[in-house]
Amino acid sequence: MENILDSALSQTRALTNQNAESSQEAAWVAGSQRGDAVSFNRLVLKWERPIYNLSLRMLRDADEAAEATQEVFLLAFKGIRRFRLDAQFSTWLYRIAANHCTSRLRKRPPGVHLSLDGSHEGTEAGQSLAAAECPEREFFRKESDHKVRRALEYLQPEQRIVVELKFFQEMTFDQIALVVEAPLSTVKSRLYHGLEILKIRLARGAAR
Amino acid sequence: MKSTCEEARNWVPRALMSDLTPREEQALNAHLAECSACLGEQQLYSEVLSQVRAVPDSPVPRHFFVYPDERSFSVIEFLRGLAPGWKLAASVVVLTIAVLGGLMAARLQFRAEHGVYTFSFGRPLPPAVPVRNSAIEIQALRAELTGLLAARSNTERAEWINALRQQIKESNRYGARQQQQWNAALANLETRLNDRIEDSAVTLTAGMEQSASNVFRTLQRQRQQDLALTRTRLEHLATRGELKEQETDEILSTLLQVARLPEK
Repeated sequence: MENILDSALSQTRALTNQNAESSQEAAWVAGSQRGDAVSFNRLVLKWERPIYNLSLRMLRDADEAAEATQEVFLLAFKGIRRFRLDAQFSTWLYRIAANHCTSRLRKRPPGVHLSLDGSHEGTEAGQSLAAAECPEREFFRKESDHKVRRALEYLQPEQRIVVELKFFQEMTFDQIALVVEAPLSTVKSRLYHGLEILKIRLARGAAR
Repeated sequence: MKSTCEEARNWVPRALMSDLTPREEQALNAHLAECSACLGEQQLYSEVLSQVRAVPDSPVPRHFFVYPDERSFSVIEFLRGLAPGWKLAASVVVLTIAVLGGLMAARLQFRAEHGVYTFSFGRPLPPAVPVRNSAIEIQALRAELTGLLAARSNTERAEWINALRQQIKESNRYGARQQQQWNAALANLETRLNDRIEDSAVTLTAGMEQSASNVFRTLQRQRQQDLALTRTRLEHLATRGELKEQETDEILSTLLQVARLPEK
């Protein structure tokens, strides 16, 4: 009985927090539309990490990802007045980021593959502590990360963005369809093809 | 529902994404219980998903704040911020300019040919003048043109001469006709004049004769009257006996001389 109560309570709290966050975000968006840069920078603080990581996994270069992230937020700031308040800000922001990264990838000369070797190493305390406690585990983890990032390079930009949004941003198929502005069936097809390629690449990597 | 390996392999990733219908999921589970290959495929997909999901996020290298100066002036945003009345006025102005521009563009014609640019507004473009670069072509054209001009000139000259000859013939014929007419008229006039002259001569002669005979008759009548008078006087004188014989004889001789005048 207590467990059920605790579970209900935690769900209610989560929902309340979610609602509070949504209303807070809506207030920031409204402030940004009035030209308040401080409100917009609060939105930047909230969304800069997922947008940066999306750019990083799409573009595979830290400097370019930082540049792209800055451009995404600049584009969002310029176009915030066009954003409809009844829509979801995250969907709109991810759409800008996805389109921007995709167009950057298309502009790249063919055959250019940038590497993230060593550039994605974080400085967070948890990772440092884990590395200190278990260097072997850390080594294998880094190795696995590197393989996954290398495998992601073999995906087409359209497949890569869908994989990114599904697995790293944990969006639903419907949300992804809104972001990439494609039908649901197209989104699923791109995801499953991408998974197939990842499976083949990671299996080959394991075989070596 | 029994499924094949091909179907199962299509279902495996979808199952991991919770994208199967209950019936499909049941069929897949039944197949995986029997097929180790497909089960291995499922495990492989699971590992892939685990590896992908385990990739951590990277921390941001810096903050990506934006500043008000970075938002440059945008005409579209300015227009969006206008009051509805001003938006309507701006839309009308833009539409009018667009319509006028379209009309102008529709009437404007442009042609670029051999480095010559020709513009025309409202009127059709003048025909393009073909440009020839070859000197040989120019010479050949010149010779051809000269020949054509000479032939045309000869043709025109011959036509002109023929026309002139025709006109001369016509005028000659006309002149001859006129001459005949004149001749006929003159002959007619001469005849009439001759007739008239003759008539006049006849009339004149007759008149003269008549006059002469009248004069003669008149004279004769007067002479007779004078003679009668003289006789009367002589008789009177003789009766009275005043005249001299000589005088009387002279008078008689004179009277006789007068009486001897020939009668016409």
